Amino acid sequence: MKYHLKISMAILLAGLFLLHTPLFAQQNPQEIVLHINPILNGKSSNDGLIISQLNGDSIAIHTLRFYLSNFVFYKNGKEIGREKDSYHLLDMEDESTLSIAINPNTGDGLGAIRFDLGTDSLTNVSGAMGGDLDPANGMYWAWNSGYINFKIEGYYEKCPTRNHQFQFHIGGYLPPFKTVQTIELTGLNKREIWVDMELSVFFEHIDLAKEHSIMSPSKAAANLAQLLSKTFRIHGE
Amino acid sequence: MGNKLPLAVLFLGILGMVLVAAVSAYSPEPVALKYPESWPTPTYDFTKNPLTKQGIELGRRLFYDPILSKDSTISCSSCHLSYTAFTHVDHDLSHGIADRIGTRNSPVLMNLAWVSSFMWDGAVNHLDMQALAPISSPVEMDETIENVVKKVQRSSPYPSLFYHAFGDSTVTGEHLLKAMAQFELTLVSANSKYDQVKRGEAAFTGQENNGYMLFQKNCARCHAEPFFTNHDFEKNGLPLDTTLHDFGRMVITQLPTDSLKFKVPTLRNIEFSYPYMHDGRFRKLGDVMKHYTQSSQLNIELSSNEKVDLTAFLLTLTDKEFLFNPDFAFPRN
Repeated sequence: MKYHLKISMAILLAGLFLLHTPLFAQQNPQEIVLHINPILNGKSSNDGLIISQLNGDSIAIHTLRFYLSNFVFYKNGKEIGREKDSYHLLDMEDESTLSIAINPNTGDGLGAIRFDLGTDSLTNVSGAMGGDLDPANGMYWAWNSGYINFKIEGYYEKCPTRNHQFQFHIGGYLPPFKTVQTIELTGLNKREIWVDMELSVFFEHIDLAKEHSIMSPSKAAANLAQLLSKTFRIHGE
Repeated sequence: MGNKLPLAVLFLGILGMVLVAAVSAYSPEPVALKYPESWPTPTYDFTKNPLTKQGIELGRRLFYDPILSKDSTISCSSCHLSYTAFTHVDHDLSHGIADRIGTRNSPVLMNLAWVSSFMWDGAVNHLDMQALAPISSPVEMDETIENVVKKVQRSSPYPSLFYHAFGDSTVTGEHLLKAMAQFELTLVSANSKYDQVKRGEAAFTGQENNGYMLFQKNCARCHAEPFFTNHDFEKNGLPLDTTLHDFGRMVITQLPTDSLKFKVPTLRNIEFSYPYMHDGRFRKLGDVMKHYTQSSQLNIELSSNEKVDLTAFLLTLTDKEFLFNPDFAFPRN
């Protein structure tokens, strides 16, 4: 009796183990994986930290968190589907969040993807939500309701602030300071899409010595959101 | 024969476990919000947060629990006492953790299922999200929702209460906020003498009736029935308090036309919700009447007798069933 129990347990444990091995963990053939790689002057993050130079001075980015949402899929110029419950919180400190598996059900790939950088206005007025949208993720403003669509924080030698810190918390869903941006990636023909997020595009257009702390909806925040949307590009293009 | 007894014990044990599991299974009991038939449909979307007995009880417990504050000294009820229309009456400006004084008078809480913007300046756009503001304010609870979630998760019997309310013993910000909203949604005040008169169950005195007519002529544009607020932001002629420099709604919209506009408060239970105005500058209803009749921006004229009659009507908005409802008070069990 005891012998049979032991055998059964062994078979069960072996089965559970095998399910987690790459041999049995088959990738869904319909699945497409989008890898987002934040870089500054071509330099990737190491353990959630990017260290580089900006105009000859040292710069470090230690926090980079943002929402991508509302994924729409296109093939031959036509919309072929939308991701359900399409909200993704990406965090440079947690590499696993930087790869997004999407399942457009297109059979053999797709041509283009459109998504939002940030969260749309409906999401911002819909009350408490869970998962990546849980207010406990630290991406929600308590004193002026709405999601922080994008957080970027770090140090720059020329910042005249305490410890030379810069902090940009970009959000706001009401006109005229809406910050959600739409991004389109075209010419896609592979099941793995590598997207660089070149942050020099953002930093080269702002003077960190003067503009270093934004933490509420404003015209400046809306302008920075536009700049952030321009940091995305297919790797190698 | 020797093997039968252990097998029977085993069978009974398994049966017992199944019974315990069945008794403690997730089975929330739906609750329908009670309100007068003549009232409009609530603006709160109950499909996203259906009221349940378990959810309301959890929310009530959280409402009265100082665990929400950094040093476990301040709960929601510190400023929102049930017996005084869910506001406080002892200070003009509300005070929070470590006796820190805020910049505004805490608002009353009632009939919130019909409200879609919160705080005196409308900074909060949904009832679910309202609790985040006092939790994170350095002069109220000085905490973070992230830390509250962790503390509540570690505190018995909360994981079990969350399971029974939402089917998941893992505490999340979403469920915590939704539970609190559920309790707050039940705070319906609809049984004042005014309500009874409207239902044909009571009659105004001559003085109250005259006050009602004066109210309709002079006050009802902003304090619209049946909620006694139009839920909008208005400028009521109050001069800027230069010690506070609170410009109200303009801070949120950044529109100069919203300068000194504040949320119109309900007049229900006004007898118990003193002091009045966003900064609690008026301690008595008489002071409020004096302001409205003296403000050059409002053109309201009332004789001394009319002020008395209007006050008599305002006192008919007191709803003792609401104020002393044991379901809204501190949970003793």
